[in-house]
Amino acid sequence: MKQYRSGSVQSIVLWTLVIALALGFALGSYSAASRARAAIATAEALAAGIPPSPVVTSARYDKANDALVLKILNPGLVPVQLIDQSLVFKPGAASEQEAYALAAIPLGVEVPPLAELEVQIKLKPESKKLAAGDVLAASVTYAHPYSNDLYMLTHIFKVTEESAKGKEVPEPAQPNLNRPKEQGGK
Amino acid sequence: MRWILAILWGLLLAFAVWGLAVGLMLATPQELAALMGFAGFMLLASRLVWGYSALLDFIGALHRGEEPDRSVAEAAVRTPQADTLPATVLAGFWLAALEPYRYTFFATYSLLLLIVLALKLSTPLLSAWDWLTGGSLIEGVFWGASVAALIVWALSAAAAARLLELNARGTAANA
Repeated sequence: MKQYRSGSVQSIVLWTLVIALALGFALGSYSAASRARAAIATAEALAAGIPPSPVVTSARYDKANDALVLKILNPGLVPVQLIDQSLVFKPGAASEQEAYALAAIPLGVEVPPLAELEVQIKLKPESKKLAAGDVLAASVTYAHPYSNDLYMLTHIFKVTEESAKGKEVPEPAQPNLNRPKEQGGK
Repeated sequence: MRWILAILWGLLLAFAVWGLAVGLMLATPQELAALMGFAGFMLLASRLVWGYSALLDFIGALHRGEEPDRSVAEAAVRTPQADTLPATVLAGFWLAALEPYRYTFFATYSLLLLIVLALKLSTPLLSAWDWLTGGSLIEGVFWGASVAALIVWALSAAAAARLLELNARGTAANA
């Protein structure tokens, strides 16, 4: 009889075991991948449902343009509309500038999901340069697609010797309950 | 005693059904597709699985030097002179009689393989993650069918090898 199919029973059993292992691995990977996909879709759906809340990650005084520059991060999965800005200036002992407030200056900026952008808040025109000890309270009103309400974000900027020169002041990485005391850094 | 056994058996069945129901509810669509692919191809292969299993039993009996039950073999071969054939030749005819079903099975499986490969290759390999977790249902059908194909291949190859061993032994004895 011609050997039209080669192989002994032992080799067939062995090959079947090897292929079965590989096939089980493939099938298990496919199943695990489908589960990972489902889990990520669920997590994404959950995260997209949380209303976004912008965060100021750092602030600096732009001496040349007479502006306070805030880096605003949108940690959510839906865009945030920055609508307008307000500024309250409180002079320190070294300042020659009187206290002032600017209200509702239109901004009209959209922060895309998971993006960070810089927002320039102009100081009062023809005001004196900032000096150490001055305090600025910059407020930005924003809206998001899950509500018709306006929200407000206020950043307190205390001017130090260094920040008066225009040095960037990063926010502490960890949320810090004592932040108002430490604002302005070293 | 019989009543206790009956109740235990009933409990076992109830737990099995419950477990199966929970498993199906928690399964992802991809896993269900793989299950469907396996079930569908096992249905296509049922004739082969039963046929090769019975053939392996038949050849096993010949190996042990016993007189096998010829009625199933004769029905499977479907030749008027089947009852006059020697058992070894009958086993060979039986193996050949299963060949069209095997061909149909692997042709269908190859078609599925081609479809899945075409889908895989037409998906640009932008990110490995997307490629691995594409979530294609036909791919699940393919993986389920692969298990059935492995079973069919192993049974057919084992039956052929066992018959070959028997013939080699017979040739050696006659020489």
